[in-house]
Amino acid sequence: MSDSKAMPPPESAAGQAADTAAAAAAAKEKAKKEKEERRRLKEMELKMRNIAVGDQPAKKTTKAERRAIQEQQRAVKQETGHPGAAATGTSGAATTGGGGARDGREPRPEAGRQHAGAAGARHARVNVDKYTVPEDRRMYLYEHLSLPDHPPSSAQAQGAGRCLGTGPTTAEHSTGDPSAFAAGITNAAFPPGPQVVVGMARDDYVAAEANTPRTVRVLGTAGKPVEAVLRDAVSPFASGPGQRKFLKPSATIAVHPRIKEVGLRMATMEISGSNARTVAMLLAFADVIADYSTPPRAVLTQHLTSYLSLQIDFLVFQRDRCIGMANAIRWLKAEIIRMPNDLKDDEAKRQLAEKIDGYIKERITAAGDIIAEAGAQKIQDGDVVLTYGASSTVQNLLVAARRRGRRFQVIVVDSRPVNEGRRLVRKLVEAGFSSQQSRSSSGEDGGAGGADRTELSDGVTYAPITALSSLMRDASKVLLSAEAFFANGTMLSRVGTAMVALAAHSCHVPVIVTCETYKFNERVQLDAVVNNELGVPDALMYKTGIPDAEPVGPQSDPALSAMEYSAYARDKYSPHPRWNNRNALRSETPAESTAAGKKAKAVKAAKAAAAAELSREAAAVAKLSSACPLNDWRTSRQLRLLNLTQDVTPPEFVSVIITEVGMVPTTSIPVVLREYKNQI
Amino acid sequence: MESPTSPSSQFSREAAIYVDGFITRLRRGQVVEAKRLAMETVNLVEHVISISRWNDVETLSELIRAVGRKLLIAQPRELLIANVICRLLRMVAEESESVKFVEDGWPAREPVREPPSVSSAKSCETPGMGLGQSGALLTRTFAEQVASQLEVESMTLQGFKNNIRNEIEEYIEELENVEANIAKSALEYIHSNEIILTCGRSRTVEQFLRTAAEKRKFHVIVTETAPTYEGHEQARALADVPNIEVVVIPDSAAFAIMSRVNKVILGTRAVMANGGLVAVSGTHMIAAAARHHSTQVVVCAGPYKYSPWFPSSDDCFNTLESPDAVLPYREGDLVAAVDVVSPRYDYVPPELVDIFVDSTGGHLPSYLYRLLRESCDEARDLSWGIHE
Repeated sequence: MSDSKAMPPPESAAGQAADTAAAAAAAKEKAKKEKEERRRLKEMELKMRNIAVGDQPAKKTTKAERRAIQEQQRAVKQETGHPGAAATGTSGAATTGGGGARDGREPRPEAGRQHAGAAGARHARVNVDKYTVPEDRRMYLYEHLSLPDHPPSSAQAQGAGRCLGTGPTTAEHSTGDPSAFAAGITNAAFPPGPQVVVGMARDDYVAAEANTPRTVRVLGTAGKPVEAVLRDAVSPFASGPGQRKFLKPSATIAVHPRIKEVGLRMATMEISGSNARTVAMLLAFADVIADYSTPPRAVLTQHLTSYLSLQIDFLVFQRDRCIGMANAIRWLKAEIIRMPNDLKDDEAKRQLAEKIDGYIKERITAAGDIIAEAGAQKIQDGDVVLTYGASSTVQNLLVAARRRGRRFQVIVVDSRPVNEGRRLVRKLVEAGFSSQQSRSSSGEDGGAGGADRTELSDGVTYAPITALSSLMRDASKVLLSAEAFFANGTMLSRVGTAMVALAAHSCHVPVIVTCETYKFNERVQLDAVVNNELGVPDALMYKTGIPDAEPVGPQSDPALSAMEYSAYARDKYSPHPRWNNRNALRSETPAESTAAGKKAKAVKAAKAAAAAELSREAAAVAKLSSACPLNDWRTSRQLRLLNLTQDVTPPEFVSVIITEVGMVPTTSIPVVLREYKNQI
Repeated sequence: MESPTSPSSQFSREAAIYVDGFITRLRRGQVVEAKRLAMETVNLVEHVISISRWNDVETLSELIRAVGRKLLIAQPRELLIANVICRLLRMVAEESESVKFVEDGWPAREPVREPPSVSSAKSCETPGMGLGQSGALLTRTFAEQVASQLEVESMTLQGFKNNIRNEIEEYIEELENVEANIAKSALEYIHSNEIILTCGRSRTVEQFLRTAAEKRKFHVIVTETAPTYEGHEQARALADVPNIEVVVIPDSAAFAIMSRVNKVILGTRAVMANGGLVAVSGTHMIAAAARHHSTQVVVCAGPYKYSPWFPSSDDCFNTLESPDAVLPYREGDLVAAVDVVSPRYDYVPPELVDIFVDSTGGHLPSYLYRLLRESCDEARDLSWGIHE
């Protein structure tokens, strides 16, 4: 911080020119000074990018140690309330800089102003209260998107110790392991039981891969700590299992923590759905920009775009962007480039934050509301609305129609392995839809016996997609949501949508699709196979899908319940046998037994116990293979699981698209694209 | 042809025990697989016949009908049982046509025979409408009918009983080999490097693909068929076959993957007289997706699956399964608030099926009703009713 000021100007040595030796010495000195300055500049930039460059580069510090150091310094800073105070130490200056950027959104205007006054301070704080949407309002706005609560690691006014999870572990997110950067993120998809902590940093993962299993103590549901297994946070999404390129570790380090958080949550499907992902991404970008400061000799419009690209790379690496995200990214970059060059940092950042806020409100939130209102008018009393999966827009629409007093039935069709429809059903039931009355009036089978709809009911029917053809006859409208529309009118959406649309088309049921225009794309796609996102293949192995982690067979079976569940097969660090990684079990056990045999023969008893354990496991495995036939698919060369997550619906199946600019047919997508070209 | 007495009164005590035992297993869902169900039904009927007293054809038919009626009361929507019973009744009728009992004391029954002119006209009515061997079938039956007219045997009751037993044995044998017989023509349908899509668990389809894989190498995509996960078992079974590469996809991805599929090969639970299928749920959507992509849909079904009824509605032979597989009871409050629908079968309309393959070859769906006449053409065989 103060080091750039302390540096003497290099031209001071240029005074005496007569003596050649002196001149040479001066030149040498000058070169040295220049080199020094370059180094400092470089260091500063690295600081700015959040890379901690210690003053002792020769000493190899692990990331965990560096984090711990940062941690202490941050805690000190937190106590004094004056970030500059801790930064005066010469050796610690570099490392604090990395952390300092993260606290940018803490609402401490006085401290920020003081600090901005300090000479050479790069990390001038802006009063962020002015433009940041307050937390409660934000959650209200995006409530329907089911964005998870901000974890402690997000830069709200929380103790820095909590940020990295070293503070008092009161929250359920917190772990005792300082090295796990985002270990605070528990995956809601995994039920209580052996708790799973997703979100270990990548190099921790590499370390774990190389050495021993790393387990952390987390707070169990009952309040007592249970052992959890650190798990690869990076799911095999981006480009399919096995084909994933790894980012350079240095690139990963330079990623803003909010981006990491959002990226990890997207990778673990905690944030899923186009709208939720785009909003989460844009909010994270807003935080990134708030923490950003243009390095010396750089122009914001150019440097910020490249800096953002780095963040985007990380996001995309975690999980490929959806079309909505891609459009938003394109828009944001265009906005940044469009900004005048002579704007000051603060002003530019303020404007950008406003624009991002505006984009979210205009293109996503308000658009969703308009769509919900417009769509709700299309629902009449006595309708049977069939929908597929869970979409925030459709949910809003149905709830809006219900709020208008419409009485209609909803059929939620769902499919494996995500079973997200259950979420929608839950939301609908909370919103007051219920089958109780209809059941008492019209007999037991609500869906199949839908023929007699004399009484208006507002029940919810839930069915798997295999039941589609028998349910479609009862439906009077089909309501779907799109992930994107392409210029040729095809709709990209969650896998199975095309089937629902086809069934509706063949039963002559109108298909209403909700789609915000920010999801329109100029690309053209003809079928689903050329470009698709692959889900975790193991999800297909379990009969009820990953969110349940409830595999097969009788749940009361102790032999089966002894085996632990893992979403990712490469998780071989658990002491328990894994359903999908029994080979690891096999390779480990003999090794153990031989080692034991070498030591002494007195451990025979222990061996016998182990053998008994093995046979118990063998029994479990046998039971498993009958209950879950695909459990060993990784060992079979001829058997593969393909978990496509998207499909493409031909335009002729879609009757109308409800957008915030009106109801349009699929043929009008190019028109909308052209009209709104400068905005999209 | 309703019997005046109640069905159970005709059974001996021992026979009733057997029938009730089987019914219990039916109700408990212990006999689910199609072929096993058919074979067990035949075995049961054979057993009941062998331990019951019967002296004339009429009593015998009524005995079989009574067994069928009892089974159908237990499982009213099980088409296969009805198919088998129909076939057995037809067998008895055919057998008795050529027989004249000679011993006294037995009421010699004059077989009711159609005049040959009618039957020959009937068989000439639709020449060449079927494919391949169906023509041969027609001529065979015609020849049989002519032959039966020529030699009206005189026979003792014991001889008749033996004949019936032999016929039933033959039928069981036919049932046992039905998959292999269907699979004989597999190479005509599957080419090298093709991508085949199938769904559900069908031993017929499995055998079909296995046979083709002896000569050719191809890919099979199996949809997992969600609430029952029969597709998992099918995939597991096929993955052991060399030359077949199996890919399991979720049911929802069938449309997405269909653009890459060359042929859809389906198994079915039963085939209606109009050529529609009663197949595992999810089949309709796959067939519809195949139709949208102009992919051929081949249905492998043994003749015992052809049922003589026309569907009165799409749901008439469907049953609902336990909702637990769809929405686990763990979801508690949710389960109480929503209706969960989990049908076991789909009705697939005949226009979505391109061809049926059975042991005699390929048939068009529109030709199926004619094939059915071979096994069960008399209205009286159906009169004991499936809807009671």
